Parts: sequence; C-alpha cells; structure tokens
Amino acid sequence: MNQASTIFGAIYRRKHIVLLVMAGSIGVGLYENAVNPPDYMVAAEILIPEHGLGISIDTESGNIPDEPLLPMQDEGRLIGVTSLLRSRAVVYRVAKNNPELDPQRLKSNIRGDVTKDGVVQYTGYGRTPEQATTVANGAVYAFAEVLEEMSMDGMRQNLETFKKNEPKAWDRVKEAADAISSYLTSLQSADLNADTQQWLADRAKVQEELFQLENQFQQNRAQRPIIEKTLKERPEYVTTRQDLKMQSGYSNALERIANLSSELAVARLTYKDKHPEILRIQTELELAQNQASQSAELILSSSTLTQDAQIAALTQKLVDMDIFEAGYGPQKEIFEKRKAELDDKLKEVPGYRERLATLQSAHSQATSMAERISERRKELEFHLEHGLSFSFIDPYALAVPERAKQVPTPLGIIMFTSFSGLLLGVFVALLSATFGRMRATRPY
Amino acid sequence: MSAANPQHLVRDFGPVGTAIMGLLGVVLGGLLGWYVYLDGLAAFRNTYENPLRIFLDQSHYLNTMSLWGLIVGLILLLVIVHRIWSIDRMILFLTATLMVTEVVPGISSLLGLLLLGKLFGGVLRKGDVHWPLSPIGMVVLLILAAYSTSFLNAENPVGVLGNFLPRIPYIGLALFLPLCINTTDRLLMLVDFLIICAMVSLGVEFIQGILSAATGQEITFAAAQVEMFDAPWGPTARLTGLMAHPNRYSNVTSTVAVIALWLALQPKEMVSQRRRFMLFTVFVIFCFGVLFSWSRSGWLSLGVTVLLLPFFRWPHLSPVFLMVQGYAVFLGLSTGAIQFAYEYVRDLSRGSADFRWHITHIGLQAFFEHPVIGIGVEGTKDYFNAYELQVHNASIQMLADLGLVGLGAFTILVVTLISCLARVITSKTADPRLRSLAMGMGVASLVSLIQSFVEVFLWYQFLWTFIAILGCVYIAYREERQRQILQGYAPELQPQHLLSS
Repeated sequence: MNQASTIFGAIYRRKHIVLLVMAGSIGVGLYENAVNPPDYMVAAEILIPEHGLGISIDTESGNIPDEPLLPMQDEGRLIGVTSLLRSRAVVYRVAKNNPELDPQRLKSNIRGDVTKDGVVQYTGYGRTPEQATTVANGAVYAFAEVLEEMSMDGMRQNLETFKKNEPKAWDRVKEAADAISSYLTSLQSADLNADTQQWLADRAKVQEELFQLENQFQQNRAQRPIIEKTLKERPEYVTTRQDLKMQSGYSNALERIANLSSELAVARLTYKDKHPEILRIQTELELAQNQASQSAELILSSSTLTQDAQIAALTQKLVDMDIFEAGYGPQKEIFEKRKAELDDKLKEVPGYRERLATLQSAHSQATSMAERISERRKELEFHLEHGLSFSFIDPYALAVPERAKQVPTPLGIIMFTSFSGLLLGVFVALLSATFGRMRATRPY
Repeated sequence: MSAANPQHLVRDFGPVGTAIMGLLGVVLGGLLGWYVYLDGLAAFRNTYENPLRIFLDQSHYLNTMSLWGLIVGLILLLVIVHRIWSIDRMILFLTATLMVTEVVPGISSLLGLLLLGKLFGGVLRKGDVHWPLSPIGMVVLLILAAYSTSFLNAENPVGVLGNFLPRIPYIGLALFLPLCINTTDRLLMLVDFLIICAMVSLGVEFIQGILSAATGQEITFAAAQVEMFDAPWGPTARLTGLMAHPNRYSNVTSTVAVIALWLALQPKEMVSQRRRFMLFTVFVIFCFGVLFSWSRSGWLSLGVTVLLLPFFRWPHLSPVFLMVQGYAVFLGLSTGAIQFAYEYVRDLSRGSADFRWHITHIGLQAFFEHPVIGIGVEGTKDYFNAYELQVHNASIQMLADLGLVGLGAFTILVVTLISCLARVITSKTADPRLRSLAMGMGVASLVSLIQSFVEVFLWYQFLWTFIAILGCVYIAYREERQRQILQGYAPELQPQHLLSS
C-alpha cells in the first residue's frame, strides 16, 4: 500500500472491521463497567511541619552533639517522608486498624504522594465510596501514628542514651578540671599568666643589674691606669702656706745707709766732694748699699704642708674600685644564675601554656557537651512527658464518601474504548489489507 | 468535484456531508467564540503576561489578537516559503528543526499541518498521492492505543488530553513522514538539514555560554532546578541550545554528532574529501557542545557510542579494536585514571544521581502493584513520589506508565524497528548510501538507548521523530526495491509517479 487511495481504500473497504472493533471496544468497556462496579477513589491529606519542635526526624540530628558517645543518626535521617509513605508499616497499620478491609488488596489500594504544595496526600481506592474513604483516612491516621511512634521511639532511645551518658559527661568535666589543677600544682603556680609576667619583670631587672655591673667594671678598668698614673706623678702632700720676713743685716745696712747718708749730707755742707771725709763717707755708703742690696731678699720664716685632696679622692676611688672588683665576680655569678633560672622558666612557658590550653579546651568541651546533654535530656523528658504531635490532621482535609470519585470514570472509559477501538480498528484493517495484499502477491 | 458546474459545489459533499460541514463550522465558530470569551475574562492576567500590553494596554483581547496575528503571519510565511521552496523541503526542514528544538512551540503541529496539506492537497489535486505505509507507523497506532489506557487511570480523563494531544503530532510522524521522506536523497537531505539545525542550536548554546559568563547568571532555556550545577570552580550554567533541558540537548547533539562522524568515516567513494573534513569538524564542534551541556549522561552515551562505532564501521577489525580498547581500559583501571574520572564526574553533582534510584524504585513498585495497564502516563509523579519528577529510566517509565499493555506495544515497536533496519543493512541490493545511513542511524540510536537508562525519554519528541525517520529508512529501501523489481522484471508496467519520485 503505497498510495493514499489504497490506504484510505483499505480502511474504507474494511470500515466494518473498524466500526466493529470500535463498537466492540466501547461495548466491552461499558459492559465491564456495568458488570464489575468500578473502584472509587478519594484523597485525604495530612500536614507535616517542616520543623516539628526542633526534634522531627529531619532536624533531630542537628540538635545532638556530634560525639562518639551518642548514637549515629544517619540511619534515622535516611528514613524520609517518601520512604515512610511507601513503607509497609503504614499498610500493616491500616490493615490492623481496619480489619474489614481486604489486606491482600490493601497495598495496591493505597497510594501516597507529596503534592507540589508539600502536603502528604493518601488516595484510597475501594469498591464503594465508604471503603475508599476508610482506606484513605486509615492511611492518613496510620501514617501519623507510624511517624509519631518512629519519632518518639528515636527520642526515647536518645533519652536513654542521654541518661546514661550524662553522668559520664560530667565525670569528664571533673576529670578535666582536676587535670588543670594538678598541672598548675606541678608548676607551683596558681596563675601561670601572673607568674610569667613576674618572671619576665625579674629577668628584665636582672638583665639591667648585669648591665650596670658590667658597665661599672669596664669603666673601672678604663679609669684605673689613669688614676694610678696620676697618683704616681703627684706628691702626696703639697705646701699650702709660706711666711716670709726681712734679714737682720739688711736692716742694719739700711740704718747705716741712712746714717751715712745723713753724715754725707752734713759733710758736704762742710767739705768738698773730694774731701777724704766725703770720700770715706761715700765709700762707706757704697759698702752699706752693697751690703743692703745683698741682703735685700726675703727669707722664709715658716711654711705649712697638707695632703692633696685630689690625691685623696683618687686614692679613695682606687680603693672603691678595688672593693668593687673584689665583689664583681660573685655578683655577676649570682645575676647570671638568676637569669639562667628565669630563662629556664620562661623557655617552658609556651609548653606550659599549650598544655594548659589543651587542658582548658578539653575542660571547656567536656563542660559544653555535658551541659548540652543535660539540656537535651531535660528537653526530651519535658517533651515526652507532655506528648508531641509530629503531624497535623485537619478534619476538613480528611476523605469523605461524598468526595469519592469513580475510577475509571465513565468519561475515561468512553474516551479509552473509543480512541483505542478506533486505533485498533484501523490497525486491524490495515493489517488485514496488508495480509490480503501479501497473499495476492506471494505464492502462499 | 466538477469545475463545469460551480453552482453545485456545495452539493459535492452531499446533503449529509453538507450538514456535517455546517455542524463542524458551527462547532468551530462556537469554540472560537468561547476562546475569545475566555480571553476577555482573563484579560487582567493576560495584560500582565502578554508583551503586547506595552502597545495595547487597554485591550482585553490581546491573546486573541496575538493568536490571529500569529496564524495570519504563519500562513503568509508559508505561502512565501512555498513559492520559493517546495513543500517537501519545508517538511524536511521542519522535521530537522523539530528534532533539535523544544523551546519553539507548535513546530510539530505545523509539521503535521504541512503533512496533512501535502496528503489532502495531493488527493484533491491529483486524485491520489504517494504515501507508503510504514510498518513503524502501524505499530505507532498500537503505542497510541496503549497510551490511551491512561484515560482509565485518570481522575480527570480530559486532563490527560492535555498531555496526549500535543504528543500525537510527533508520535504520529511515523505514519505520515513517509509521505515526504521515501527516498535516499531525501533522507540525505534531511541529515544535512539536521546538521544545519543542530549547528544553529549550537550557536544558541554558544550565545548562552557567553551571556551566562558575562552576566554571572544562568541564561538558558532550562528550568531553574536544572539550569546550573555546583562545579568545583563555582556555579556553572548548563547550556541547552534550543532544547529545554541540558540532558535532552546533549542527547540530540550527541546523536547528530555520531551521525556526522559515521558519514565522515564512509569510504572515499561515498564522501568527498571536503565533505569528510566538514563532517569531522562538525563532529568535534558537537562534542564541545555536549561537553558544555554538563550532562554526564550525555558524555557517557556519546563516549560509549563513539568507542563502539568502529566495531560497526569496520567489523572485520573488531578484534583489533577490542584489544586496543581492552588495553586502554586495563591501563585506565591499573593507573586509577578510570576510577578518578568516575569519582570526579560523579561528585560534580552527586545528589542528582541519587534521586534517580529512588524514583526508579517507585516506578518498579507502580508496575508490580498495577501490572496490567500501569498507573497512566506521568502517573509516577503522583505515586509515592516526593520529587515531583518522572522515572528517569525509559524502560521502567514505560512499565510504570503503561504496564504490560505498553510493554507489548513497545516490544512490537522495537522488534519492528530492528527487523526493518536489519533488512536494509543486510540487503545486498540496497543503495550503499542508504545502507550506510541505516547503519549510521542505527549506531546513533545507541546514544538514546544508553541515555534512556538515566533520563526521562519516553515521550520525548526527538525520540519519536528519530523513530519515524528510521521507519522512513526502511520505506526508502522498500521503494527502491520495488523500483528495481519493476525495472528488472516489468519496466513497461512501472507507474510514472514512481519513476518521477
């Protein structure tokens, strides 16, 4: 059949087959619908809050400390709403709560879903609207029960774990505190930070003292030769006072000169200059003058000698230096020793601190964990005591027989039977024509 | 119909036909009136959604005007294109466009209209038209019948039509496409169009990549939940070309890439050096397109198909390929490269792999609980399913949606497809180009086969168009065979229209 006319012709010539198949299909569909009453379907809804009190199956793990003491939550996390929807637990619960329902057909009569709006919806199928309603509502209640039991069971298990682990957790806190205390005792320190500050201050002080000592020592070493040289070159004592007086011969000479001068003057009044008297007087005067001039110098009558103050000071300094140098070695040794002691202590400080920080961190962690476990225990006890609801069932969202719909619907049956009947009829007609053509062309 | 008596034209339908035509006109008019009425009622919303509100803010009938404008424009466009091109080429081009485009609505309907136009236009003008009946087309009738079981599962059967009707045009292509595609030349022309359209889609992908990189936002046609993924270097856009999902884009592009590679590897007497170079280049470019879709299933299917391709192209060298590839696999495993690559690709988006297994279980449960007719097409979205997604495995999706009825229909389809292709490939008298194309398309179908294990492919227009084309490959072979028989045994009896086609 390669022409439209042959195809259409084949269908047209076999229009009775097409119509027969189509009519047969519709007839059988309607007959089946009449003989075998169709199922009914109706939906019921249940809401699951995304965060049920912070302890829903999704969020429970986030509230539990991640510690090896506690149970792993991964398994619980795997149980999502989808798995719960599909689980046999819901079906068994429906069967248990509704003994009138056929358990063999129950699984295929329950259809769960999470709608686009995030609502959990159960569609129940049944022979009657009432039966479908029972299945749908039964599934919703069963889902709520299973969800609650599952969640509560998890919480109870967690509570038991918390109860067992809480004393252990607080013991750990005590152990951690003891470890800090004993460590500080071993360090002979009540407060490592304060002690460290003190050690640092002491060391700075010792360092300063050492510096001063060494500075003084070096200064002395530099000054000593100068002082010693100065002392060597200077007398120990110095004249501090001298008294001077005239010589006795000078006075006599001066007196004789005065007398001779007077005698000369008198003689000159009498005699001429060449007079022997005058010459004699002049000669004697010259002699007297010579004598006077010769004895004109002062003579030291007395002098006072006292010790040189600078020498004394230098000597004293030298003595001080000797004293200082005598003490330099032992002093330095003491300072060095002290410094070494302080350095030893300070060198260990980072280690002390690290160790102490580790201990304090362990203590802090243990405390935090213990507090959280205690809080969770109290919270869980409270919730379990007061009861919890992990889902919400709105009575208006439950199934009612009035809302039940027939499946397949009469329209669906008509559409299916007519459409598929037409297609199958055309198919059969074409197949029949093809076979006819084959029989005509092949040597059958 | 008689041109001599134009006054009796109305009576050509006969009294019953006239009454039916009149009734149809009344119903159509009523429907149009109802649509306009609804458009007016929904005017407030429409004014916010319709871009024409900028110009006609006060009008309540924007959608009506838009629709009529679109229809008139489309008719004018078709008339113009028809004047300068043939209807067959338009069909070929639209078929290729349909395969690579999801985001442009109405292509399948337009293609259907063109095919029906060709069919009825030919009947009206010449009294008949050449329309080879494809075995695949006949099986598609069974598929549609199986699909219609969804009416039985639906709470609202009319709602099922919302999905069913838009799918009929491309599922039914297997029946109508042989009207146009029934020769090797047309098939080859279709492949050329397909490569061109895929290149256009690739260009769109390139623009998407540039815009996404420039703006820092994912600018693609994908839905928000699949348009990006958290790569180790940060959020990255999954490019889609003209498709609405990166995985489907990778599927289309991979398939076309494999066909291009196959054609490039043809013997030298079948392909020129220039064309071979062009096809190789196209293949490489398409590989980059698949890469930047960030579709792991696309990478896998393309990679595996390309590795398998030499076995089909040079079967006599299969032991060599087996040894080389086996050694490469051994090296990869022993050095840890394969494990590393697997873990790296897996960790690119691990969550998107995990949910597939959950939905697969849901699909299997649906089938085992409702084995006869399943739970209806897309029923798994409401069947113990918190993901609101369909089963990401075509086989299980088919079982869950249509049950054993669907299994039967699809089994017949697969068997028919394989037997049709096998007949073309094993035929010693078939055109070598057609045999090569059949082989290439058969190999390319491995892409969809592999990817269908992890993707929602069952009612995907590319798949059904591809199936229809596979049917056309057989039709072309059969036509050729008949021509040979007629030429060999009774050339004088050969119909003229067969010779001309």
